[in-house]
Amino acid sequence: MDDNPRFAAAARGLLTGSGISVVGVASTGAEALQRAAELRPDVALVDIDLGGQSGFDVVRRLHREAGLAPSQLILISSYDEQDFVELIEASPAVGFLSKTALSAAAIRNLLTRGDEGRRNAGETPGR
Amino acid sequence: MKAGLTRRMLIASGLLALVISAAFAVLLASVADLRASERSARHSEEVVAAANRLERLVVDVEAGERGFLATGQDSRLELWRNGQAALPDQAAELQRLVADNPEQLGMARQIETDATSYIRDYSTPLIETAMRDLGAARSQAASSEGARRIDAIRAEFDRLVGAEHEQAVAGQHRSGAAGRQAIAAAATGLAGSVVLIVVFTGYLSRVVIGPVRRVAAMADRLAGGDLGARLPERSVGEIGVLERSFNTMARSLQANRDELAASRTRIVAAADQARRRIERDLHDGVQQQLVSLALELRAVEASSPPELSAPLAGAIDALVGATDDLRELSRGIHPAILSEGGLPAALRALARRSAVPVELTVEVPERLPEQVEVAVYYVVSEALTNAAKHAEASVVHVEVRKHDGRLHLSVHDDGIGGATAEHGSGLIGLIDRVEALDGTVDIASPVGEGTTLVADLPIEEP
Repeated sequence: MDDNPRFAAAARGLLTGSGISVVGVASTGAEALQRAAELRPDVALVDIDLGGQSGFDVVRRLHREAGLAPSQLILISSYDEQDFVELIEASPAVGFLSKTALSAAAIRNLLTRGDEGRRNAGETPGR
Repeated sequence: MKAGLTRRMLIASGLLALVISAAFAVLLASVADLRASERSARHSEEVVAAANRLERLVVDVEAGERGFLATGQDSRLELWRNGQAALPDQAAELQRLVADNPEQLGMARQIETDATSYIRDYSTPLIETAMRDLGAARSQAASSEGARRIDAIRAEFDRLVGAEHEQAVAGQHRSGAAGRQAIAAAATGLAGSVVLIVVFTGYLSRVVIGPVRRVAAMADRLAGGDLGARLPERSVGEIGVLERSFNTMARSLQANRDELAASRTRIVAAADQARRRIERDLHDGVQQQLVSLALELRAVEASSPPELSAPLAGAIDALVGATDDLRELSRGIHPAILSEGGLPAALRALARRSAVPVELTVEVPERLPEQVEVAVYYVVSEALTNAAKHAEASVVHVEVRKHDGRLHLSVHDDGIGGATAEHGSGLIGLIDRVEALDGTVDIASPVGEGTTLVADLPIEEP
């Protein structure tokens, strides 16, 4: 979910080439909720900055309304993770990936780490 | 009330001068009167003295005559002769003295005539007779003609002296009146002058001194920085002009200052807006382009032959490096976290990135008016940069609190101090930024004791 079409296309190209099928692209929060409900993806990559809308809000709504689990939500941005670390921790999303570091491997890594983290800490509902 | 102050002063002074002059004029007239009275009195004395002397001479003649008749001695004749001899001169003197009074002059002349007649017509023949025949003379003298004549002359003398006396008494009355007049004039003049002076002073005080003091006090307030100082415009003449001009100037100063302050706020706001736009444009435009390019190249690299993948990987790394640099640059232009997460989150991000450890205390609501958030962020950011670059500090304490509708910010480092507002334009920019929001900034940086920056901003409740 990103409001920049070129990035969406580039990301789709890269991920598809590494074995992750991209089932849908959304550029606004409303679209995101719609697609999530329709397509029931395994993972949603949500840009922090959705053209003026807050990606954190969208992630929260995806979690509550579209029923996506934390392990299905990843925040992405061209911003530095350090700047947003508090908001990221407070978010239901399992983690954050820098856009320039985006790859299939990075996604899988994050999901695995997230699972481990939850198994170690015990799942805290409504995070 | 356009009458000039000069005219009023002239009128008041003229009035005062008039009263004083009148009083003195009356006084002078009275003094002249008194002197005239004094002269008159002296004159009276002289007249009386002359009359007495003349009468004395006549008496001498009569006494000499009687004595000769009684004793027949020649020594008595000497008195008789001396008296006669001196008589004309004395009579002339008396007439001279009463020359200005026709009535008295008449009396004096009559006296002289009668005395001369007595001597010529009675006494001399009698003495001649006595020289020849004393007995015959005695019997002649027994008839009272001589006595009658002398009595008549005495009576005339009495009348003359009486008249002179009356004049003298009248003169005394006049001088008494003149004296009283003088006293009255002096008293009136004194009282009038005092009253006029009091009135004059009161008037001056109300019309000139009071207003001037008010103007001075207001000018002092204005100079002290209170541009709201105004004068009531109710004075006359030039003072009124002064009051009106003062108010106009003060209003103008205030308007200028307000306009400047508003202008400065607008400029700062415009600059911040421009920066946000630039950061937006960079993020949405160039940054996304470059990031997308990197991913596209990665996709290419994944499916490229080995001899290409190493150079490609190198290029991609360089590209990612460039995007990171661009991201840093962008954050310096405007921190996205501030808009997205609010001031506390942005300050914590600053603290994490700071080269010098930061003790951060933030007690403010999540969201504040935008320009306040921006101002505080940049102040803290600049202060932390200075602490890292110049101060050689080991720790920086940052406190941000909201209290009573105002925001208090303090940044203290334990470095070497010595920071001044000229040391790079950074600090001046901070001061401008805070003051543009009607806030105050105070920087204390004694050498060797670290630098403390304290800022205070009003927060308008939206």
